[in-house]
Amino acid sequence: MSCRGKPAMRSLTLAALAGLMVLSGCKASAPAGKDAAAAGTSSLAAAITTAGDLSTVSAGLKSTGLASVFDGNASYTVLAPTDAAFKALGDKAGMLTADGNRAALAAVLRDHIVPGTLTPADIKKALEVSKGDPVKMRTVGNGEVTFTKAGNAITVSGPDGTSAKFAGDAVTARNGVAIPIDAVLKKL
Amino acid sequence: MRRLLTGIAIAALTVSTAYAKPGGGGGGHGNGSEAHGNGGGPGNGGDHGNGGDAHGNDGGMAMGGPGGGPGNDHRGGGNDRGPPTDRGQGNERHGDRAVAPALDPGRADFRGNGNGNRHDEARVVRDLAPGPVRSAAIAERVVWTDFDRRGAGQGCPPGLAKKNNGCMPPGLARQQNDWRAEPDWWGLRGLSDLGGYRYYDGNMVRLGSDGRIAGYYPLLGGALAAGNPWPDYYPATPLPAYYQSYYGLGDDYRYADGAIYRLDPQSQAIQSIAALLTGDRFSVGQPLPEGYGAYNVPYSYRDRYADNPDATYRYSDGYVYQVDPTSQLIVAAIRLLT
Repeated sequence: MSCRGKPAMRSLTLAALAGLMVLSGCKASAPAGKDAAAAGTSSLAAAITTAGDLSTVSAGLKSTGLASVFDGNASYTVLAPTDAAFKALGDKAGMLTADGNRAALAAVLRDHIVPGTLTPADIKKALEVSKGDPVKMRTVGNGEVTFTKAGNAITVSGPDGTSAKFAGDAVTARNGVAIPIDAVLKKL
Repeated sequence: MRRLLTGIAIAALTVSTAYAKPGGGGGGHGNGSEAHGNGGGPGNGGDHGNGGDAHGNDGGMAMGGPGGGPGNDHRGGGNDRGPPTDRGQGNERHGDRAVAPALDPGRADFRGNGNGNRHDEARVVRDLAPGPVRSAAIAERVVWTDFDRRGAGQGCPPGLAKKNNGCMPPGLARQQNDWRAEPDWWGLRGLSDLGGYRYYDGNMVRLGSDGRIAGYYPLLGGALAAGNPWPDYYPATPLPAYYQSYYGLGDDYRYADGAIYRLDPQSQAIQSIAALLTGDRFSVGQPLPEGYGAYNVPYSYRDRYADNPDATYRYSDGYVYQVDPTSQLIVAAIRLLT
């Protein structure tokens, strides 16, 4: 008896059989689909580290301890401000990344993290389905981020009105994705 | 064989039915769409012993509203604190479709990971789909806001109390309010009002009338960072075995402000941050919460849970939720076993 299989079964009896599979200690393994294969084997933490223009985010994830979250099993999406985005903050960037302000940096980064794997293609599709209405996604921080589309450009906004545009190719990993954005989504 | 399996299915649904009964011992106060439990509910928690093999010896899921009634949801062994257990076996049917395979039918043991008072235990909700019994779906989840209600700790933050400054850091009273003193900026889940609070050394701290720190709220990445001692004010927070497995929590872990931390078993210092959570509440039979407008299922499960005309899927805090595209109601909560 295999643990694998489609979840949609056509009868209650088969559903009961599935229950017995779990009770017998058989655990479902993650299916190895084309998406999983395309995502590779790197953790999201490692993938962000090797991304060229996300070194500030990478360092911030490490200094705050958040990087360990992306080494695990759970999937997350990081809307990752580029190094240029942090540089644009001027002196505030230095303050934010100072050792004494790691809690503040963690709060900022947290507002950029969405549960699950949310690819740019997923966002585009959702915006198509919504016929132009904004698409909201919950973060693991304070509230939601809102995606809108103008022409081919996708803008993401934070709860406080800050906004950013996608800035480069997404970084994929086995447990999530990082989407570079050109601004920090939180007022400082 | 078919007859046997049908019998099993009926037996499983009988268990579900027992959970769905409103009030009464062992049934909590399920209202057909949602049944709450916190391990201390009146007259239950220990009355599920007839729930079949899914119940085991921990009395089934403690259900019911807040209360101090005794349940037998304490699990024996060492210093394990009996958490509300989550049991049951459910089959989810939506039309002719069942999504049972990913729903672990029972075995969601809650393992205490420390000692403390019952009010710190997880409150678990077992979702039951409305309508006919045969449509019942069961999943467990933790009501994280119950943990968040602990609010701020009293007295000095760990570490600072050991410093010989009488818990009066110099200059703190003169600290000007800035972005770090705005509650919305931090988005703290256990503090909605930061009036009188200041940022200090990885905590939000509240000054008493004598100028000493009278309370503190430890911050992720600040006081709650690897290597720092875990604040005693925030005791063990037992979670279902599924969460322990999915997030790789090990035996010692704690929850605070939307994050789960692994602790060093010996020193009880923070080892690492294990998970960040939305804390959103999902209930089978209820609408999807706001903020899930786009497909976000993890890569590894996209083949299995792809949006289609009959079902859409969204992920949050370790579960994939199946949603009816027409009604936009949640029809199943699906565990992602690995």
